[in-house]
Amino acid sequence: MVKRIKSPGIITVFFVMLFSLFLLLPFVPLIIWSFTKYWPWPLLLPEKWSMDSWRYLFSASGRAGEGLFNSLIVAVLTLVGNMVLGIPAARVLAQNEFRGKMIVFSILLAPLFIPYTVSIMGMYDFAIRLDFINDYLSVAFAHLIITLPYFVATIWFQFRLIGAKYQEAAASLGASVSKIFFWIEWPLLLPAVLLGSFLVMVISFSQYLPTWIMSGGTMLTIPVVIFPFASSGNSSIVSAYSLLFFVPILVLMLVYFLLMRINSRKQFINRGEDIAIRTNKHSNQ
Amino acid sequence: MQLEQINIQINNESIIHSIDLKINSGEIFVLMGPSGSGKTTLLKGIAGLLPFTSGKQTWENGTGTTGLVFQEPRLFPHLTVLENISFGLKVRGIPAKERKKAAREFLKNLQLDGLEKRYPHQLSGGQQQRVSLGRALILNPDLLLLDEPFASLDTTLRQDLIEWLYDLQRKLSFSILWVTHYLDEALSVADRIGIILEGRLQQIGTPSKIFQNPDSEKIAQFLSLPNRFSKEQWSNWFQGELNVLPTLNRGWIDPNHLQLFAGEYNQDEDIREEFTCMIPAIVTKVRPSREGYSISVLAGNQSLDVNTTGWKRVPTVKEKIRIRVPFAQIHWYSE
Repeated sequence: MVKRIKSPGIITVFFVMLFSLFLLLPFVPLIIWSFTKYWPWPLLLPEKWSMDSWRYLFSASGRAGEGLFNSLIVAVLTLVGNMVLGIPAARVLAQNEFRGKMIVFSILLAPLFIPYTVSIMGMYDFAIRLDFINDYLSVAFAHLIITLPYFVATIWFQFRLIGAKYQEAAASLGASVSKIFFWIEWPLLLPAVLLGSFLVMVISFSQYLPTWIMSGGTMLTIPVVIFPFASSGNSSIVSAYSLLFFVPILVLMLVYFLLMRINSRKQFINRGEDIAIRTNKHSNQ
Repeated sequence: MQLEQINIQINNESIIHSIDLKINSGEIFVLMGPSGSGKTTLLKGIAGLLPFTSGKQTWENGTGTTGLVFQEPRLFPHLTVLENISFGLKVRGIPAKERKKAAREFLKNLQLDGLEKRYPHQLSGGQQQRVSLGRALILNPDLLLLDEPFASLDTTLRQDLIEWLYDLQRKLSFSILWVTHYLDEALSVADRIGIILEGRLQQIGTPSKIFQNPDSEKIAQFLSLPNRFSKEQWSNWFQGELNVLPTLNRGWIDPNHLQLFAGEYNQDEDIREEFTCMIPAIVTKVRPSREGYSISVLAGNQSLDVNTTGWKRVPTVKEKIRIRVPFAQIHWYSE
């Protein structure tokens, strides 16, 4: 049976538009603010336009490039940490039964519920005692604590979906643990890994306090660059920085969808071909 | 392959108890048992997916290999038919060209020509299960382990696949340890049948031996043998001592061997020279079957099943009838 593709109803279109407006509208004042220094209420548009904020951004004192670079390094290190710790942890939690499993799971997810300032302060104190104050690594460690629950939860869910049945099938054909992981589990896990990685990078990009504490205020990442301007009420520069720093998120999102598309094309042929094959099968019978 | 005193424990719970079993070369050994009796656990143990707590697994030629086919196909969804079939060869380090060539040749045996580039979700249930069988068989295992491989398929497809696999086995001469709970499946393929109950192998024998002489009431019950009664009950109906070995204290008779009389019956006119008895009964249920009718009757407080052939008039519910029982057709066994 071939399903007919229905055109979306008016209600669906209305809610999609409403949701799109909800997401896109905040960008309108950001864009306007980045091109003016003064925009008092109740003016619909500013009276004077200016490129000063953008000029400052790309000047030597703006340090936007440095913020972007540091954010990327920390986010990549955080992602590597998540992969190394999160994938094995999610696998064990999803596919093994052992005493205290729920406690381990709760501890892993704890940063979602407990204010992370507490653990970050403790970590900072510990890092000073151990003389371990490599900015990138120590900040990435702090980000790891915050992002690990999201990553583990995403991967755990996918491992649960995969189950142990393919492992058993591959093992019965003589595959070792590493071959089972790389040849069977990893390709099936890839969509969740991509989603988890995207989440980790985005969350890492937006961390201010953990970065500030762990680096002793010395490392300039995106939020650390923006924060002084935000606290001083400089809406124009904050808007320009925000728009600039949205670019890597947008790039990440595009990369995510691109990789997802490549992955799904590689693994399964598209629905159109599938229907064609099934129709052909019926006509042959 | 031979198993000696095999025990398997999972989470400190004993699942398999002291199993001894020998499977001969080229033999189809069918293992039957109710759910939770340990069939799958034993299969996984033999396949090396679960460790034996104690006991020994030996092979006639020193070492041997197994291939396991599960109830559901468990095909790798991201691999094509060809890649699924050749997966085991890839694991063994066979170069891509060689393994693809071998898999392509094997597709003919599996009747899957032309489907090598399809993904599992593009195949029918029967095709998927054939790929699953091919994936195990291409490795040329000494023993193929089948864990109810056709249980999820409809009857016609199941029967077709059983016949196909039986022919393939006779052609390639590999041994099979086949787990099933379908009696028809067991009877159509088994060289020998083993009954496993509560983790213990209770009886091994040819299909006819198992059905005619079950080793215990538990086995008879599992095999759903009909019309099972104690020797005392049969003695009551035959009105006298029965010429049966003292150790055999229960007997069953196939519903096809019982004869139903709705009208008057004159024993003197019965010219058949066989020891029989007539049991008065009341009809409780009448169900049409492929051959005729399947009728349940109540004789005193005992229920019996009788099959009739042909589509002539059958008694109605609550009608008084009599059942003719030929003594020679009763199969005796120990409780």
